[in-house]
Amino acid sequence: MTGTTRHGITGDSTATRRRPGPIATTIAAGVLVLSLGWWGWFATEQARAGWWDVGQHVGIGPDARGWAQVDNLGVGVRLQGVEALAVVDEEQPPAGFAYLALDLEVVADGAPQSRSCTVQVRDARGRLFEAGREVPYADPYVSLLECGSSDPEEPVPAEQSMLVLVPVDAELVSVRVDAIDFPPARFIELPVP
Amino acid sequence: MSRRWAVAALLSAAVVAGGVANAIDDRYVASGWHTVERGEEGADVRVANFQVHVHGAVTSTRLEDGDVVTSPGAFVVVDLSYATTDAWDSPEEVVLIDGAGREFGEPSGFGSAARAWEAGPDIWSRGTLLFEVSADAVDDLTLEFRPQSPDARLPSAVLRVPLTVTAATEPLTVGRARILAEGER
Repeated sequence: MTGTTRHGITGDSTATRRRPGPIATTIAAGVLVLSLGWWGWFATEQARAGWWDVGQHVGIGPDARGWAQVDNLGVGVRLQGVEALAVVDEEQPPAGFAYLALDLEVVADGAPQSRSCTVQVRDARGRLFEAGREVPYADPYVSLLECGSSDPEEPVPAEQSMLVLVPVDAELVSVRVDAIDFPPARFIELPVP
Repeated sequence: MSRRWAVAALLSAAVVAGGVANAIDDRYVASGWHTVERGEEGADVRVANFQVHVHGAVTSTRLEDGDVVTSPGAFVVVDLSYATTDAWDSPEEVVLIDGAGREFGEPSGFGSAARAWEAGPDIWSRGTLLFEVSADAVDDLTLEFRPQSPDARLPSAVLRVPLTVTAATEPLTVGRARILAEGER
């Protein structure tokens, strides 16, 4: 059906229908984007929560005295020293690697809870080298960092040393300490001097 | 009239898109959605957060496992090295697949060390994996390296490397993995 508008323009009757103005279009587009965003946020809640909870995303750094604390657990760790060793207990690392000795101070004065912490050394490329892997079993080095005790008669050793196998050319950045019951996404991160 | 055709076309496109999404969900997502990387023996191949180098494989009906044991089929020992790219990790699974699609996993009941081991970031280790397969599968075996456990909700990748399997006259032996010097495979 065709007709003539009062402005004298001839065309299809649907063409004369009032179109929404730019403000209405903007509002409608905004509502659409917000709706899609909310839906996407809602639909991915489980995935985001799982990814966030199981990963290391929030580093707890050291205070002025070098102590990094997980307050609600009463766990604190301080890095005393880092030294690359060519030989440990007459055992040499494979060519191109070194044994890195980490000396750590640990306090665990929270609720009695048996706990061991994993210790990793991070390099500038983001690689994480785990302490106690493929290293000699030799005194005074431990393969797991004790960072909680369920027996008040046997508190955690205040000083503990660990070995880490690292490539000799790795540019070491920090030492990470983590445990399964640390708050979600949180870990201790101590800069390598 | 042209607007009606446009609306009809949009509706048709929506129906087709829904059908395609449903088909993808049925065929891939719901049954494990993964990408297959293909490699070859003697070369470094990267899959997910692993770097893998397959050296080769040997077969025999006999295995040195404390005593010499004999298989009704065939033992296959695969020699391979791998490292990760990010942190210490072990692959979820390594299996052999034959030309007919049959899958052979790690056998149980043997004392020999034969399970996939943990490797570090750019810390390569070399070892052997033991499999027991049907005698008619030996000539057409492919190693499938699976870095992660299959999860229907997440895309993942697996590596397939066709194997050249040589026959051994002596009983096969399986050794523990060892860390390699820098640059070695």
